[in-house]
Amino acid sequence: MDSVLRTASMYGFLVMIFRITGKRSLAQITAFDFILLLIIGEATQQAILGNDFSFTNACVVIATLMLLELGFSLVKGWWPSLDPVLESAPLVVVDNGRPLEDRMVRERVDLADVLAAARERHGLERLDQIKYAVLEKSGGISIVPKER
Amino acid sequence: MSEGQRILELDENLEFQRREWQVQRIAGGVLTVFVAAAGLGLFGSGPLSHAQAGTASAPIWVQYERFVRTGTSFRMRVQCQSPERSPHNEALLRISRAYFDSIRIDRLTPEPISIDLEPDVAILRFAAPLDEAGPASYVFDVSPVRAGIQSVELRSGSASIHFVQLAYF
Repeated sequence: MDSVLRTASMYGFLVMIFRITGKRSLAQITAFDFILLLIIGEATQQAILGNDFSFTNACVVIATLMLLELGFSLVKGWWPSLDPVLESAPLVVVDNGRPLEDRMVRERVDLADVLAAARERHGLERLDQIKYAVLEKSGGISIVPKER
Repeated sequence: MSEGQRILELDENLEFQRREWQVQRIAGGVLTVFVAAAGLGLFGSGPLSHAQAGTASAPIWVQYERFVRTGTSFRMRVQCQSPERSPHNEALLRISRAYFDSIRIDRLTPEPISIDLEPDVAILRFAAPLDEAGPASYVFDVSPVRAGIQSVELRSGSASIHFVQLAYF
């Protein structure tokens, strides 16, 4: 029971923490973000497993996590209104070449991030070539280019 | 182009987004307080946690941690001015049984000769100190094995001390 409680509590805590810090915290952007995620992984593992490194405990932890993930998916299916609460919602940050500054500041997205996404995915060169830039739930930025 | 004219099919909900930003601001403040409190020792090892029951001149006093975490070792120092003696001249220290059962003693200096477990109390017997008239000091390195609030009583003869400790999960 101890393992199940630890796992469920840690899962809930991580969901809450990443919702608090915003969508961009989920997008692995720089080396610092990558290192942060590595350290969080290590800290989480130690807290969940404690001193019990048995095969059985590992199975219990993994099964609990998968069940929680399944549970969340089912809950979102039954109550679609909970989806933005659990996973946030996408947000337009550039509209017809015009950056929506207030939204970008609040979500800690800068123009360089948008232009990098535009170059990577569509080979676009300038902001005025972007019809929409959307900050997705995953923290990534998707680009809809203007029709040529 | 205004939001109403935008033709992008998207689950954007600006009203919900504004509420989310507000919640994030408040939660960010709570997180800051949480980390500051942790730095000060609210979850162990810091000024908020270090405590002393009794004074150095009292018949018995204890330096302990108010806040501890299960599985994590902490140090407790006990001093008895005139320790209780057994008929064999051993120094005795009595610890409430409920607390004794909730901890794991990693190290105890000096090491006891024996530990007798009675229903309400654990009796630690130590070899007589070289200076039989002097105070007896004990250093416990212990780890809580159970979370929760523990009421602790230490007794040596007629002298007793009581304190409360919170062990986090």
